[in-house]
Amino acid sequence: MIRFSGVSKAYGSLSVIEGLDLEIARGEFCVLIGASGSGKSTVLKLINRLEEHDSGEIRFAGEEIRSFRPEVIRRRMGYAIQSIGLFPHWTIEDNVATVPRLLGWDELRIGRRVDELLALLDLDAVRIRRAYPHQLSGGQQQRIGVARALAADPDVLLMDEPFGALDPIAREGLQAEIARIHRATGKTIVFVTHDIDEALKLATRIVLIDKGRIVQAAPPREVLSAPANDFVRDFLGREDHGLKLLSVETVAERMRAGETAPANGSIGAGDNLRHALSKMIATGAKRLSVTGSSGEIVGTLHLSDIVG
Amino acid sequence: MRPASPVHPPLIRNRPLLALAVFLALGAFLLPVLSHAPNRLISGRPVPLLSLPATSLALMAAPALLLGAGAFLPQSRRSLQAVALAAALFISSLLFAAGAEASRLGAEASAAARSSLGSGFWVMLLAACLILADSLARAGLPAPARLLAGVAAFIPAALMIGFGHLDDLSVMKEYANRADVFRQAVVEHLVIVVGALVPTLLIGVPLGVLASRRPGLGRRTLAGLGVIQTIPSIALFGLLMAPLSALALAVPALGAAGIRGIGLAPAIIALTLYCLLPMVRNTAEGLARTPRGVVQAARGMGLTERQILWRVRVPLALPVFLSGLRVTLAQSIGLAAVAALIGAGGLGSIMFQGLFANALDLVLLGAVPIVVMVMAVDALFRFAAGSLRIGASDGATAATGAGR
Repeated sequence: MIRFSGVSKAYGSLSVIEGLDLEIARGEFCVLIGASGSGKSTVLKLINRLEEHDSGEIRFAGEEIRSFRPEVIRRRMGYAIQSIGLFPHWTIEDNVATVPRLLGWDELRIGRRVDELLALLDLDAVRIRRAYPHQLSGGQQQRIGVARALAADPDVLLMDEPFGALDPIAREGLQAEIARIHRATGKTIVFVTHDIDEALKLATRIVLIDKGRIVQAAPPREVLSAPANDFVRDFLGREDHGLKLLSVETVAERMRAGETAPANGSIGAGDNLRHALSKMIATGAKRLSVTGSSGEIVGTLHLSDIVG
Repeated sequence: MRPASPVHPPLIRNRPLLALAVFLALGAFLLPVLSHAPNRLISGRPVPLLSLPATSLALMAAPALLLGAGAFLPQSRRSLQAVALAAALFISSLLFAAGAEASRLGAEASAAARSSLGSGFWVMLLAACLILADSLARAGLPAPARLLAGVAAFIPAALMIGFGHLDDLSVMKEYANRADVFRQAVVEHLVIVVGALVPTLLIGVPLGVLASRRPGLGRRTLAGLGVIQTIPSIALFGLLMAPLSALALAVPALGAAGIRGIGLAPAIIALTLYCLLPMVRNTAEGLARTPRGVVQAARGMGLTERQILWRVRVPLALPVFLSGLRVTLAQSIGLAAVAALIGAGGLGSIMFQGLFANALDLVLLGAVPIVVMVMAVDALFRFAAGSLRIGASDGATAATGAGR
């Protein structure tokens, strides 16, 4: 879908990206992570030409991005940012309809699409369609920001620390929402963050960037189990490295299937092991019944299954 | 430190209203409402309010008592609206009584006799207008209704002028003597103001756009324009006279086109120089207050720079821009009066004629229309900016507030 080959970018004499090679496949949830100043945001902005690369080649759907006019390529990519940037003088409806209007959709189709998106983002369309952004909470505003990015059904969704300014509850809600949207639509998502837990939770592949170079690019589990070097280990946080490992594995992978004798507590098969361990510690139970999607017991998880 | 919760509500519920009512009463009883002179060269004999006929006094007393009582009433919307109505009635009855008394005195004296409005009249009018404005502002009316109410309060005054009830007041006598001159002066005044407005917009808006793009340049431009503001208007007119005269002599075609050291040309140039500051400053400030995230998001979604300007920056800048235009117009309507000193005409010429002849009524004939024009422009633009506020300005402040 998007391929960087030998891409470099400098501001004057200050080099921000050096010889970057990266291929982002269709349907991937690719999280670019790094400290501030690492160049992760610049990589994102190179894709929709908010920044221009100095050398190398960036291809989008097989074509060099400079063969498009910047506006054309931007309208094919959804874009959501930390400061949200809703138009304060437009209603929610008009904000969401921004790109479809630029693309000249007819109003009937736009109206249907707005309803669809507000429902997708779990927002009450009737109540907020005609509201103005300042009448909404920060979490709601960013939901609108995401809806606006998805409005014209873009091939790619670019998200620059979209949940960085939200309170923890709103952030978790939106993380769950975007993960669900990714599963449901199969969109290619390129997501920038500096929050490793967010990256582990959302990514199908994590791209760790430092000083404009890729340090490691791998699925979350691989990054955790085989960190490329000490920098990655430091970034993952040495103290709770083990807990992070648990957070990328599900209960279903470690449980003893078929052992259905009821235990003192229960946990969903799709929950992660970190959650299961936390529950065991909190309740003092050494084993938990594992429940399937309809609540039936499908197996048992012992403490030794986690630690062993 | 506060006393324990009072058992009785406070006696005085509206201190500003009480203060204004006392001010009004002092003007009514201590100062003359009219001044009557056998001709305009002799200073007049004061006419105290209490010497007016009982019917006139009764007409004014009713709303005046209501104004005083308003300070002791609970401050509900309804009572504030009642106070505003009483103030409007008082203004009308004051004008009516003054007009009636001037006619009565005029009938007894010769045609050269003059009844002019006295200091007591002005104090009462000022107090009543302040009460009207204050109670309308606090009566919880929406902006359009407030504007309409303010206008409606002066309809009786306009009717009294129209039907000749005030014709025996000296101001109106001066007007009758000079109706043609007056009308021409109003036109000249507007020509000066509009003449300065056009170049102000043509120069000020592009400069403001430039200043918003390049803050360094903007700061220097505004500093330069700020210095111009400190030059007194008469001095600036004077400074322009020499170079413009020289120019007219050097290029006779310009002279023939009206570019001279005196008259309209220096007046318009000087007013433009004064008006550039609010215009440039508010244009730049309006454009700069589009939150950065909004512009970044707009660009990222594929709006072109032109679309960002017209769909985002301009609508968000409009309320600030309009308030700049309001200041510009109000300032140039006032300053245009001074332009009479360099022969540009306008209402200032009537004012200065009155000043030099020590004829207060002539000064009023020039000054009152200027005040009315400034107030009208002010109200109109506040109304326009208020109706824009709904989405734009609240949203913009909310967005910048969240960014901090």
